[in-house]
Amino acid sequence: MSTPDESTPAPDSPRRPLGADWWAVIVAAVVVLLAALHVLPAIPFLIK
Amino acid sequence: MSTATRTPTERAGAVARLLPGLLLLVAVGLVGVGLQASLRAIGTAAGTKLPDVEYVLWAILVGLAIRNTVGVPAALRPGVGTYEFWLKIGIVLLGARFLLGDLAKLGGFSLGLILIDMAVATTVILLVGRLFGLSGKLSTLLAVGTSICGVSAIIAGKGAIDADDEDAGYAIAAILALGAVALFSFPAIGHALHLTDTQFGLWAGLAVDNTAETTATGAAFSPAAQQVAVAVKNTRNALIGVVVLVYALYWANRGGIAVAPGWRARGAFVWQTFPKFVLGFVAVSALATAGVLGKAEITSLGNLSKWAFLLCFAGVGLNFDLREIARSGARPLVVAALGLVVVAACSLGLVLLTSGALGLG
Repeated sequence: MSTPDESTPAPDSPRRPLGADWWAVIVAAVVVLLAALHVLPAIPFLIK
Repeated sequence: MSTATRTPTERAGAVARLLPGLLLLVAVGLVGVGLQASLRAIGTAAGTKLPDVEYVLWAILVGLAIRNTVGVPAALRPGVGTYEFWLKIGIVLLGARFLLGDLAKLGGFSLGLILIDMAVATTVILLVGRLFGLSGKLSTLLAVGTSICGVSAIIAGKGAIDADDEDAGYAIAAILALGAVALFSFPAIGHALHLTDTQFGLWAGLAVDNTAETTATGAAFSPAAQQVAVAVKNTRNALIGVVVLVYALYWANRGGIAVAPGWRARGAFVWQTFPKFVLGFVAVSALATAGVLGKAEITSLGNLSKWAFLLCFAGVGLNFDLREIARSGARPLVVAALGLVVVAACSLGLVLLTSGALGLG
């Protein structure tokens, strides 16, 4: 395992990207918001 | 799904790359629905009662047939690979179908059964794994996958105990293969035993390891069973961070990765591995309980979750490569199979013994 050179400036820590979990929550939250505002159209399913 | 450093053009390109595979998910899902409806119509026209095979199973079977015969072309794979994303959206939206009190009752009740199952699964897998000469880390990954959350737990566990890619691949293949077996056998057993929707949902939520396969197994029995299965599985999923942390601490001095000391670091570890869609599921349930959503909206959100699950089920079949399962060898599969049989029998016994007593039958 290499030891980092202390004279080298530490790289900028990149912002951790949102994972699929958070994206799913965000997309679902938008849909639920539309439903709460009563602007989500009635959505049927094909089979009972 | 990082968009942090992408330009709008790159984002549009990324979405465009997903479209062909998404269309395939929709097509396979619709074929599944069409097959169930056709079989029903044929039975009605002929005046005979044909087995009512749910669209869930048809969608998975059609996907499985495509993947393992003609294969999925490379251009379609990015879209086909989004199936877990649709699963998570479906789970969050399904929260609208639950009152928070019912969810707490179900979660609290299932938590005791989950802890018993976890102890049984871990003991059986570790013992049988040793008997079959599996490495300690492979047995640990199989135990994590069987007792908690299938693939997600194995991936989190792999990083935490510093297991090989090969071991993780074996464990994932074994868990997915057995989930597929459960998917087709559990509904038949449930009907044969005349289980109620709640009993079956509890059983599937406790014993089927991968969340997509748990959801599909519940749906293959009935929509009500699917709701219970998802709620119970979410309770299991919520424990993923704690369980993986315990295994990481065990392996820290046995060739694993050193776990950062202190409650803050360990809390951060648990939060990092915690499935965030479980929070979304509970939040949507809280909104529905608070009366923010009307009856029509709850119906629409429930149907939207069914659409999301349909894409997920199609993706489960399209991502299931039988050759990869065969390549993983027999020993991990046998160990995981024994674990599944014991956990399934133990869960079923617990559900039958306790659900009636607690008024959940």
